[in-house]
Amino acid sequence: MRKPGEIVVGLCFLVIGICFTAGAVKLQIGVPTEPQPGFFPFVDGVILIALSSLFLFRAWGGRAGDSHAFGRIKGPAAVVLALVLYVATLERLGYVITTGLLSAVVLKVMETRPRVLVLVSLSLTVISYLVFDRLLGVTLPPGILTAFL
Amino acid sequence: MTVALLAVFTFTMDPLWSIILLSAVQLGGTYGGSISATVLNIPGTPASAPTAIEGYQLTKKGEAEVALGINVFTSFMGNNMGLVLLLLTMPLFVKLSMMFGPWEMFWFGTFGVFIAANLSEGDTLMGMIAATVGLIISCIGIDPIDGSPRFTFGSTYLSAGIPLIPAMIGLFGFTEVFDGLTDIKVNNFPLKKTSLLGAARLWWKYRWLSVRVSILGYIIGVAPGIGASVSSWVGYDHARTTSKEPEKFGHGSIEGLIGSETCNMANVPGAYAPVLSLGVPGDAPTAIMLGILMLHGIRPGPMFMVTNPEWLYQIVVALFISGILFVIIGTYAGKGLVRLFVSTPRTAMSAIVAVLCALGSYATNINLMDVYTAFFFGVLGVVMKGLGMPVSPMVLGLILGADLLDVEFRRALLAGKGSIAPFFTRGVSIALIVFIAAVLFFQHVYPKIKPGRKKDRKVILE
Repeated sequence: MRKPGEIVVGLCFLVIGICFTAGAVKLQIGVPTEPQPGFFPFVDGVILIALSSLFLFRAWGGRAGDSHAFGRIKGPAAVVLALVLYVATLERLGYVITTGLLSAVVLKVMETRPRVLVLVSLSLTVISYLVFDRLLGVTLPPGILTAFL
Repeated sequence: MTVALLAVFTFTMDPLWSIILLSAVQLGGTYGGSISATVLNIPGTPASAPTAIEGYQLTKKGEAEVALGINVFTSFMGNNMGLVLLLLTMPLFVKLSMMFGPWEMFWFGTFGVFIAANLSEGDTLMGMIAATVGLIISCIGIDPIDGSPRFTFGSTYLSAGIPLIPAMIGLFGFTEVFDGLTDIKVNNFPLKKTSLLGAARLWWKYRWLSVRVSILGYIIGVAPGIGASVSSWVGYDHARTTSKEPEKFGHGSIEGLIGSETCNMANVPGAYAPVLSLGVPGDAPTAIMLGILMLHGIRPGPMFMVTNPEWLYQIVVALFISGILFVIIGTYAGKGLVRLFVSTPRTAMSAIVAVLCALGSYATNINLMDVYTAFFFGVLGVVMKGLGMPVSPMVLGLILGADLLDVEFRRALLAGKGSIAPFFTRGVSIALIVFIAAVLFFQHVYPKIKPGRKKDRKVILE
């Protein structure tokens, strides 16, 4: 049986392979006896095109490999969004605030009770800040709490 | 990184003591990476990636203490066997490492690609695609030979290449977080208690595997520029291909842990052979140590070991004592950590792992972009998992790509004035080709044609 999902994935790899090969050609491939910066990426790109073609052929013929069903999507999507916001605001708001919020989002997605959510987020933020910033000397962005930290 | 950070403090120290301090730190760091790999599925170092595959599965089964016991004991034994080999074979391997050129390094890299294909968990095509994507990603950055940017799209961040630690944190750690979020009805991991003696008994059961991978790890350590991150995969692959229970790999295999941990620890003493006798560093930490020695006006080389033989013995003793110390610290601190993490509710663990992943990737270079990198690889890891595509070949592709295969191939051609003949005519190259061919034969051809196979099949059919 054909698997449309795997055909899409195979096509994605094929497109990546073609784009990469084209990019490698732009970088100049050279000749095998005098390779230029594009040589190794070109070889990789060609191999990916060949392998993804084989993959597509296999998926088309219905002999696709094992794939696992994705579970809930809503929770991970919320965490992905929280992580994007985390990185975007880390320097401005500071480590303490953003990390507290990130762990709160993860705990909320995991359906944790509000009291536990606050307790874990707070302790995780404070402990990780103390260990990394104060003990190990990793400078974490203080953000808007500069005056207090 | 710790070796680099501590190097600053050694400027005013006696040169020998500074090397002893840094070697102990290197050893502790190499072992320490296995703790987070086992408990959190976040490899602390690139060398502990295979440990994460098996160790974390054992943690899930409630055997975290067994895994940590095996890690600490096999690491100790791997280090000791590496030290014995260093004392016994240093003159021989020094001669051998002098014969290693870019041609041989290229063959080493090629061997790594075959290992990547072996790590495919049943679907070789998927594994090969993952490895190729890893090789492709490794090409991003400044070309190591002529300095021109490759696939950087004008980004300063990408010019430095894709950093390995954030990429691995993403592929292993973030993937675990996302995976946990898709199924929130999970219970805490159970915990079966075990002692170091129990781990030692398990190690004894697989002692010959341990000896074999120690020799492999030591040889890879001697070869300049390959390092522990490759050797752990070589050890893991050797354990997998020689195992009588290959079906356990990827599901918490003790042999896989022994293969990975012993090989990367035996690699550490091996890396001292070329640095002390030739002044050629075997890996990044020994390169820093070489720099420290040169700052003190000491230039290791062939005459150095003749005039200062005590250095070798003192470093060996220091590494041995460091080994004893990490057994003590690893056993007690490791147990404490395991009990703490296992008793923590799984919901809170997801938040802890998410924060540690973000923090770990940021702390590597104090760069926010590294968090994005980890996050990108996390999403990629989830997609790959959804497709049934293994992540291990991709990690190996990232390690082997631009820094080994590309650079050494082009260096070899430059050194050979455009001729590819030395790849096939140099003595060590021929030996490596024969070795690779033999490994491939015994892994893929021999099991299909070996006598008794037909008989086995007949018995199964009956």
